[in-house]
Amino acid sequence: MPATNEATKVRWVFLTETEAETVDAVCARIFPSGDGKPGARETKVITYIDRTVADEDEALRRCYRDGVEALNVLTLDLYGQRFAELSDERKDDVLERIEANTANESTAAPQDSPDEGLLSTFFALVWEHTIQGMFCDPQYGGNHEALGWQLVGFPGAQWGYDAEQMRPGFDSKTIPIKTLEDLRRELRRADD
Amino acid sequence: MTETAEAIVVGLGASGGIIAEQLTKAGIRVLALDKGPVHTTEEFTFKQDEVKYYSRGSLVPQLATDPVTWRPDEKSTARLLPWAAGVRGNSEPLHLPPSIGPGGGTLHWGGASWRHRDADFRMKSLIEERFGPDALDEDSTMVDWPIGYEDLEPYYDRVEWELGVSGRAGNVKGAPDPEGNPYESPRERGFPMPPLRTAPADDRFKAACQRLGYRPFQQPAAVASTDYKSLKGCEYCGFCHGFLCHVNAKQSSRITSVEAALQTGNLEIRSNSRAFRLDRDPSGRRITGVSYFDAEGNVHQVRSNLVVVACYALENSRLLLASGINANGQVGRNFMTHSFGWCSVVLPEFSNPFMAPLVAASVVDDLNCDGVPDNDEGVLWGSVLTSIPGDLQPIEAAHNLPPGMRRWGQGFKDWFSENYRRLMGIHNQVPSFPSKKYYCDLDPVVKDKFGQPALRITHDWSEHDLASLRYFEKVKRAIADEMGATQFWSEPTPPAYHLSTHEVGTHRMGENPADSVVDIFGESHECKGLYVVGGGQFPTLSGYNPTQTLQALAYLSADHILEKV
Ligand SMILES: Cc1cc2nc3c(=O)[nH]c(=O)nc-3n(C[C@H](O)[C@H](O)[C@H](O)COP(=O)(O)OP(=O)(O)OC[C@H]3O[C@@H](n4cnc5c(N)ncnc54)[C@H](O)[C@@H]3O)c2cc1C
Ligand code: SF4
Repeated sequence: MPATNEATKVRWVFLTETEAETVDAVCARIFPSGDGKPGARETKVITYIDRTVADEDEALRRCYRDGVEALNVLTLDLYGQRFAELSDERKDDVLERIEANTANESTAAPQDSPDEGLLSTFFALVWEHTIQGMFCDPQYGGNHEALGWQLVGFPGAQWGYDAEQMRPGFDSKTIPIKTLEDLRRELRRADD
Repeated sequence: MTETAEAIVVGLGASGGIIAEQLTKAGIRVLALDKGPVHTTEEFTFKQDEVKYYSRGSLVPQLATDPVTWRPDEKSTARLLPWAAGVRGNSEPLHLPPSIGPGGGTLHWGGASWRHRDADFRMKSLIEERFGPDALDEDSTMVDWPIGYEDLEPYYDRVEWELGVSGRAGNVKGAPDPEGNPYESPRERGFPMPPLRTAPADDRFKAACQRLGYRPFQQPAAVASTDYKSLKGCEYCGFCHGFLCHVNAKQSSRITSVEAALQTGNLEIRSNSRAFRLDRDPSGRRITGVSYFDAEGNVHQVRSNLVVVACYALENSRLLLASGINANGQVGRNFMTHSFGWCSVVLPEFSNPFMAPLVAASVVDDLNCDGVPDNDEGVLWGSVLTSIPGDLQPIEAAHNLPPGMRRWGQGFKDWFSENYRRLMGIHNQVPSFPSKKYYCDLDPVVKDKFGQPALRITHDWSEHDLASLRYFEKVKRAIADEMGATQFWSEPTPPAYHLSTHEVGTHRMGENPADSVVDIFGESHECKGLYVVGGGQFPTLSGYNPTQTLQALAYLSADHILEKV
């Protein structure tokens, strides 16, 4: 049963359909959904990644292109299915395997390591981008509706905090979240 | 036709900005070359952007254009800073040389602003007196400073009052103030601004330290607590270290010195202009100018018999080496840096670590300098110990998780969403010692896009560095326990990086031209009219952050230059 969700139905700027599906499945294991709280899917991390990869350099794109392929080759080999088609337990097993390899490798020049190195670099990259996509300013396509910030209690792009808000133990979830767009709007209003 | 300038300042960062201001105010026409772009305040109105400034490091040099290589020892082959050379090019955006463009490192520094203590100028003598003549290992190249605290005191005062530093003095003319630093060396007067409001968890840190018998006080900060000169009072936005300040509360040479220099009408800034050679007369004994590349890579030459090089300790040594100004072989020697001991704690109540600047914090100075107690680990010199209660955004926070915890999956999600708002840091920094083994030279293979050799760093963390990290980890753990922390962990040691942004020593100052590169005014022993300024002048690094001291040295150099012209 292929994993589909809202995010993978949009058109991608850079990723192919298969790439988006696979990467999205990895992101969803890094920051899962299903506990009633937002995860990578709800915050549209995959949209963030698609745009980021489209903007950035060749090395990064190659890493996604080759990484997705290597991951699917690996799981087809192991289980006869693409990564996105595996059960959550199997997905986690595969990712753990990849991580275990990372531990043995040096942090040195991942680019010229063989396939195993490629997969751990790929996973490290998707991890970075998942975190960024969860907690970036929404202008980058991730952190949809500031759901990531709500989850952790970060009020986002604030001009500053006052003494009352800076009391120890203050509940930051009572501060209305702002994005960069909100700040721009405030300044535009002030100009009028 | 070759262009001529009355004076050239290369690099308008912390030190170059000060010198440009002093010279232009005295009526000298200065041409400033800076390899970075000119930043405007408007650009930073919307700087609350972790992806741009932290993840993508838009203010730090990229290795593709500014390669630096590293190797742990002479037997190894150097490669591009491995901790920063990942697929994204900057996996450790805060462990690269400081940012580029007028303002330099002060564009996005934290603003911890320290005077060295009297003892810091006599590190070698004090260590040998206390621990014996063999305390330092045989490769040590440590020396005392050729100047003392009292020589720099008036210049420290100028930094605090001309540029703006907030804080509470502990020792004005020998009169102690229990609210200030009990260990500071005597000062003529206090700070021009009171301390900042502290970040939420700092109270708990301070109280715990007091119960443990330490004497915490508030960190002196190059952040305005009230409007002061061209600075505005801090708004505690918490996008501070690694970011620009949207209200100009953080002292940056861009808005202090460079702005003042521009107002004289005597400063011309040529941005995106990268110096690659310091030119000399045929005897090699006198500076004649600077050669630089413009953004398109065209070569320009400007003649001047007064050149101030202020491109940060690393680039300064690269320029000297690339220009062949190294007759005594001392350029690039005596490289020193801090190893950072970052620890994190989880607190029982909300600490809201995203509020306030990094420096809205308390410090324990009891174990710094020669105040480090006798210990079994063999630690010879101490370190400041600070709370880091603010300035932590979620993406950066996710990069520092308890060791052994799986960094993904439901467990990670639960942990991070529960604890992000309860985090706080405790920090110390261990100064490395100068050694024959640690130095910079030109990389024989790697070149930048203009074909100039990259700087190569040969450095490893020494036994002493590691022992110090272990020692201070125990101290921080005890404070965390006393704070009632529910979790405590340290960043791995030895650190993966070898640049802390506190690099110093690479063009040491001294009175003897045989074993130093510049004199106490920063003038090259070898080449008259050439000043090389910044942390590279330091004979030793202290447990304190270096910038206020290198700013003080810049005022000293400027005074000296003005006396001579
Ligand atoms: C994230 C961060 C946090 C920091 N926090 C603190 C802190 O809290 N406290 C503290 O004391 N210090 C801190 N520092 C360190 C501080 O920024 C430096 O000590 C200080 O800026 C060094 O001053 P400088 O004048 O030597 O060089 P810089 O300020 O780095 O200026 C160098 C200038 O030279 C220019 N340049 C370089 N090469 C060339 C070339 N070839 N041609 C032309 N121009 C060139 C650069 O563009 C730059 O403008 C921090 C640094 C960073 C990056
Ligand atoms: S915390 Fe204060 S000094 Fe730092 S960027 Fe915000 S307003 Fe500026």
